[in-house]
Amino acid sequence: MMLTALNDFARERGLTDDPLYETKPVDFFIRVSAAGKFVSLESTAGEDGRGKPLSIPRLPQRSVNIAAGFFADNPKYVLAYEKDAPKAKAGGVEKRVARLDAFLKPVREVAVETKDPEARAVESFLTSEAERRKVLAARDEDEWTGSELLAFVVGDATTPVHQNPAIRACWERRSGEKRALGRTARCLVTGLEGVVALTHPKLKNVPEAQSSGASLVSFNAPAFSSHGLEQGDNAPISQEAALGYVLALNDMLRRTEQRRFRQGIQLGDGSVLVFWTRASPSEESLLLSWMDPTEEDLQRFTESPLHGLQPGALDDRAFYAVTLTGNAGRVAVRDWFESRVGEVKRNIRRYFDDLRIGNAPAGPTPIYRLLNAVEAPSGRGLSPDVATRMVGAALRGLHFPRQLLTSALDRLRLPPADDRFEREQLRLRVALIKATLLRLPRSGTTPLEVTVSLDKNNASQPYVLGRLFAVLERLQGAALKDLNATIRDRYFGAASRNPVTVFPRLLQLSVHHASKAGENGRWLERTKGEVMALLPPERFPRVLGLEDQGLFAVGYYHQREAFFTKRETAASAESDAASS
Amino acid sequence: MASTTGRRFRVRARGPVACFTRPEMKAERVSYEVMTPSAARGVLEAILWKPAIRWHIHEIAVLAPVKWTSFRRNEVNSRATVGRFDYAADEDRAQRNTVALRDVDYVITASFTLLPGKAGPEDNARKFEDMFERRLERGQFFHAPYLGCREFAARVEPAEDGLLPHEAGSGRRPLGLMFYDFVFDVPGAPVRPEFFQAFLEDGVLHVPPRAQVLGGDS
Repeated sequence: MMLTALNDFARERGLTDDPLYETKPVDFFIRVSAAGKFVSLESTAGEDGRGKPLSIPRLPQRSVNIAAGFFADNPKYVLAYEKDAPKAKAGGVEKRVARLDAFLKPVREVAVETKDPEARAVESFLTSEAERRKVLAARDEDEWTGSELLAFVVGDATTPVHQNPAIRACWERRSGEKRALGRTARCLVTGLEGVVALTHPKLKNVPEAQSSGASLVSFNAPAFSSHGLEQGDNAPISQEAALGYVLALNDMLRRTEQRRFRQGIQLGDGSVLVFWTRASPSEESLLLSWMDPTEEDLQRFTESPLHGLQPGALDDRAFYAVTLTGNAGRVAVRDWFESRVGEVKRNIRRYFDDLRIGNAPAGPTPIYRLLNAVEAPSGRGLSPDVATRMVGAALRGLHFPRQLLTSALDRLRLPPADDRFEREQLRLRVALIKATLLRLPRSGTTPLEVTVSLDKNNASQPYVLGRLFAVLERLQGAALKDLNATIRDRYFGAASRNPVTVFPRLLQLSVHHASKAGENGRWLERTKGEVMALLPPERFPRVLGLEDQGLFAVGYYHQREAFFTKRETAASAESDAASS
Repeated sequence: MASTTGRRFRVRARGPVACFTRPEMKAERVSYEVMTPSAARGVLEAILWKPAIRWHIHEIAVLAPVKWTSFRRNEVNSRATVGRFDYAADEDRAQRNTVALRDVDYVITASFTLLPGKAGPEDNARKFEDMFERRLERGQFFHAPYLGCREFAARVEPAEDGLLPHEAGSGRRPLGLMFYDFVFDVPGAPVRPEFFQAFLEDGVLHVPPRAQVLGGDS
């Protein structure tokens, strides 16, 4: 289903319109005379310094093998160029010659076949080593990288040789003949008879995979094939379909100026989630900007919170998401998900609602930021697929991995590493705790209630204890001002896990703090009284379980934020009074 | 053409993990959403198989919602080879990902026919049918029945009446082209995989008869 959906996507968006040609930036034209003499090397680079995108005959699949392009390729093939030629190993020379021969062979055949003067000019140019040297000499030696894309023009022509109609016809016929040599079978992607692709084109830009590209469908060890079937025969997929799904994925995985993946979300270090819809490109970019906002998006969102996630006309269309990760030469699927656009919008909205905490505006938080906030400082601790599972759960509307709760709580126990981001980090951690708690599958009857901001009526013991802890911290702050280690740094972990061991002592301490804190202290004492009134008299629980520790953290955060807000509104009231 | 007049058995197979690997995704395994006919055949053959019979799967009802899980394992790169004893798995392995199904529960409806030419004079369908029923009820098997991969054991028992598919009443849902089975028995030709267009209709996968799939486009 996945490959079919991808292939359909490629066809709908017109990516496979031209299976024999592809558009690539051609860096240089080699201009040769009708007699095959080198005339000039013309750079096509525009203002941005990149070559002009041109349609060229599709380049073959290459790894260590030798396979040449048709009338256009890089200098290794066109000019037998080798970057470190002097230092080349014994095999180097042979390989250079073999590459040139591979490139020359079709040119020679076409020249004989069509008697086309342009093809002949290219042929006689290629056969002369002296002429080829002139090309290399036309640029500084250091400037050649070996990966420039070169094409030919003959005489005064403006169009390159490979676009000459006679040569195009030749390319199309040759490709047809080559295909006819393949075995035909029913393609398991399209369901139609087709020539089976023995090996598939490669995906580029998949994290953790080889940079030269990796295959999604491959059978490169005996254990992967069945019943003596080899390569593509294990899963008959036609060449068109193989090209289609790869073009679709490569298009989505392409790097752009704003994003690492044009239509993908990076999850942790090792994987990427790409998604597409049968709706419209604008729907896709909307969803993308929600799930993985860029800085620019974030600024925009502050003006129009949650706008755009309203039900729309295209909500009934299919939505697909796949999480890919590299495994050296292969690409593995980590997760695959198929749904409707409307469903996904609803789930995304719920995801943001669940994550909302305190008075922060309702806007998206990039996933990497959430995960950074709960990851241990060393970057270790979260298992590699937590991000995949979390995003999968968000899209499906399911519960989050429990591991997030553990990690977030672990991070809360440690003293903050950097004060500057402390408040934001705390918010993200508690937000994640809250969302995880809300979504936990519960065997009991009542769903856990966790509110967005302070809930004075919530008498759940862990929640109230969290609030109490925040009050005590506040009292200490009001009494002692500058402190190296606050009670939070020292006691948060113990207080949330084993309240009975910590709270009696903290309460004693708070009496001293209150007497030192003056006016503020009396008010805080009153708040403390209010909070304590919600607890059973003088009884602190011995142990709190994981979920309760989560509730404790939420209570702590709510109370703490309530103090902040109060101060801020009080401050603004003062400034109002002063200005009037 | 295989007749389907034999007795129809309803067999319930369930287990905590299952992976009905898609052939295109078998290096880094991804399962089909629903048990394939060949996997169902494997379950039945684990309980009773004779050279003289051929199982036909008619329906696979999906009782539990489709849930996924994924994990990585170290697996070997080579196939088991008879007579090779110096094999060291540590030196020849790859870490491979598996996207498998969780908590699956199926009711397989199937029957078998006798193969002309293979069945001896003393064989008859009735005898094997009774044999199968007995074995199923007692929980006997030739090898442990499994859900797609040997390591995902299945609990197999006769299906009671009144079991409802999870997606009952939700209409027709396409599953795409699904692996049907290997075609082993064309003399001289290599083994080849065969596929069919699969749909989940009210939570039930209807499996077309073998002749229809092998006959080309269905």
